[in-house]
Amino acid sequence: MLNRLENLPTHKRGRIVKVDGGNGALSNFESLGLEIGDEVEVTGKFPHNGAIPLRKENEDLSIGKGLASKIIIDTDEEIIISLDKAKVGDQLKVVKVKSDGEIRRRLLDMGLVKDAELEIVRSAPLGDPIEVMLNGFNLSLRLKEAEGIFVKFVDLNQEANRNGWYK
Amino acid sequence: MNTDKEILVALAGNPNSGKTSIFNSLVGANQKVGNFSGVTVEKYSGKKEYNGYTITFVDLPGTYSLTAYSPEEVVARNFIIEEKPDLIVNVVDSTNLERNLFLTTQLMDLECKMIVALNMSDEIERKNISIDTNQLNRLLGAPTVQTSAAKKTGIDELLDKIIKIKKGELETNTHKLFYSDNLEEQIEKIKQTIDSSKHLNGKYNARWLSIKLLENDKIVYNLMRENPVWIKINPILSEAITRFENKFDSEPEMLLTEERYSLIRGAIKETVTYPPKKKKSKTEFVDSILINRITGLPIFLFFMWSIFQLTFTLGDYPMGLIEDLFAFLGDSAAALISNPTAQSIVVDGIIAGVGGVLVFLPNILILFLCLSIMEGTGYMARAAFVVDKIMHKFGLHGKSFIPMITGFGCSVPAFMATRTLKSESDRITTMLIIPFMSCSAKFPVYVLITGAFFATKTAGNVLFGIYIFGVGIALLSAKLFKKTIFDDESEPFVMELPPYRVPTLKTLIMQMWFKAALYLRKAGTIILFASVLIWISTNYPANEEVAQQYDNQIAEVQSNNQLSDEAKEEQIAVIENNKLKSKLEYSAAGYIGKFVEPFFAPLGFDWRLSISLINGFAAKEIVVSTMATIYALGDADESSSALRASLSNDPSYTVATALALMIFVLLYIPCFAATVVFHKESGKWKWTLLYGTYSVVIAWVMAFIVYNISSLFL
Repeated sequence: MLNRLENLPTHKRGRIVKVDGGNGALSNFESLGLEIGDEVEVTGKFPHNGAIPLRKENEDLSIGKGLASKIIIDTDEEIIISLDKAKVGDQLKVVKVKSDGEIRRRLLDMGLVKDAELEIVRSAPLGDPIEVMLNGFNLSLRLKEAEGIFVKFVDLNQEANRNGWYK
Repeated sequence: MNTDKEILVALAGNPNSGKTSIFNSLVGANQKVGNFSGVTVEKYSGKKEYNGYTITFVDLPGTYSLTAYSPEEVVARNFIIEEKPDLIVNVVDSTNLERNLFLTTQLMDLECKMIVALNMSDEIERKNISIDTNQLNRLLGAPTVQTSAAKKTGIDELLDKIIKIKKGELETNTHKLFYSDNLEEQIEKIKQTIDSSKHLNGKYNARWLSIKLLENDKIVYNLMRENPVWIKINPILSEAITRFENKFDSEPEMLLTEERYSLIRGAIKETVTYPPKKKKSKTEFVDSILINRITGLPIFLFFMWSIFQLTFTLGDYPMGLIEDLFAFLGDSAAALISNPTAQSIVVDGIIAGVGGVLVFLPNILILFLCLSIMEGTGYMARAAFVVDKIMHKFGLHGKSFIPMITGFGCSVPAFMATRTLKSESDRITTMLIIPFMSCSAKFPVYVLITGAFFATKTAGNVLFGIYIFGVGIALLSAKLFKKTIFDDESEPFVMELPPYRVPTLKTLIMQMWFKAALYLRKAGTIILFASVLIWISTNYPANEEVAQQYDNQIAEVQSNNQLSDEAKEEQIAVIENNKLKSKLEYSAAGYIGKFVEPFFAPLGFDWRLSISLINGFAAKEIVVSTMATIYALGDADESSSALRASLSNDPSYTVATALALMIFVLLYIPCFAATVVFHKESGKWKWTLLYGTYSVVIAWVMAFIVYNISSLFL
């Protein structure tokens, strides 16, 4: 299954298949000594500076979150992320809703239950809230509310980073 | 009710399902609006005579579910449980069955008689979607009717079926919704315990109570806890919850919802055929322009600007006409009534009071037409989507934006516009900060003060600064309220962005009219009463002696043969103005003004400003006319150079006083009409008290700070 390196959990491995970005991203990628076809493993997370430490063969390196979101990897792992981390165009399936109280009730009422399929349509002009399509209708929710919804990938929108701005 | 020829029908359905349009098609103009008891949720009901039957329709608020979280949902289900309508018409949007049928499953749990109206059938046809209604009937255990409010189809069929069900010729509610064995087992256990109790017999459906207990429903929980049978139910419930926890790593609430949705998915698979997916729907296309990253905000701002302009610039013309009409009525009445006291009470009290109520009507009508259009087309949800991030920073909801902008024109329609907000905390917070959005009636005060104390060059900047200051106070206050009294709770933004639709004209007009009627009936009467009261307080007690002195002076001037007619008129005008001034000084308002002078003294205001501010409670523009009266200048307005000169030449006033005065006028309690509307809309005295005290306190503190700081520098 294809996914973005950014979404790969700690201690999981994947093979780089492409860099989904412009020349800047590509030259950044190459300057780190990475190549298409490399096997990499995520060795940890630095949530504060957003960098992701990687191990390629026996070499440790660290890449920024922005670049990590542009690197497409092939992995056997089933990747589960919270909905706020997904990108425009991603097609997802709900695994679990972990929110509480009224927010949970609202999400359930709207059909965000286990196995519901959805697609990220766009984010608002200021980046938050986001709009998703599920069950044939469009729903908006704040990123904060999306944090409690855990999803897995049905299909990854690889074009999102390059062409996503107009959406 | 409930006789043979009378039928009570409740309409239930999702927001945007076209429920209101169906309601309007059913009863036409024969409807009335009120509130459901105890809450500010509007209740529309209407009667229809059909084939010898009188059918009363009640339009329940649009909801996605029947939980205990929102007042709308509680109102809807309480109506069904307590009023026991003969029948429920569940209006569903056929283009979005999956989500719409979720409410249907909850209505099925209530085991009430039901017809499912598959609305928007015209859109289904256009989109080439076909529904096997016979099969859907069987699955839901309720008759279905395909309707379209836009094309007016299916309405008669719906009425026919209502009567058939009443007569017992048509079956409904043929079966219950069954869940998986694990859940059914627990539901049955709790149900039997409830059945064994004598206390709950009759009023509630035991199976529904059991399901709601498993769903962790607050209201049902509290209801049951007061009941002796709770001792038996509680252990069963806890056991069930632990069991689901262990077995499925989930709660019954989650499982019930999941099962409802899978039942719906199954039913749809069996009955609905969709055409192969087209490339892009109309809504997607419109959205790609209206809410995209670049054009979204400018388009939104343009719409807001248009609404504001329409409401207040276009509204200005009919407002002018209404003012002229009442001025004319006043003059005519004055000519007919000779007794000066009776004349004054009719002209300045009653006619001016009625005029003061009606004068807001054009604003309210236009604003609510605009809001209905925004809601009806589906843009309202998008507007909230676009600005929610900014508003949420201050603890507000995206939808708070519209009432706040409206507040720049007038607080009265702005308070009413908060009805689009669903949660009480968002609504009350928005209402509490609207007064700080400087309304148009405060403008003349600023013009007068800036004109008197600032050079033309700086006046504009000062004016702009005042407005920005108000917005700043509004946003910070919102944050404060949310952090303190509302405990940061905010309505989730889990909100449908409905497909764009063209609203029917009938629905638009009706919604607009009902809002206006609500204003006239509820606020209008009190505003009228208050106007008379304010008139009395500025005219009484009258000091006859002083008035007599001025009359004597006038008589003296008149009998003075040495003066020309022109000189006489001039002198009399001066005396008349002085008479008005002393009349105000000796009136109740005047005494109050003098009495509160010490309160205003730290802000640099003397008794004259105090009286003006007290009178400003009647209406903000009155601050200016009161000043004119106090300076014995007669009918001077904000552009009068005489009034400006009197102010700027008064040694007790400085630039610091001017700034403090404008800040105070900006922030202190809005006019009486607005206060009445606030109270009617908030529904609770505690909010009105908070609104009054908070605005006065913040005004005083800010004016005090501004006065003292600027006294140091200017």
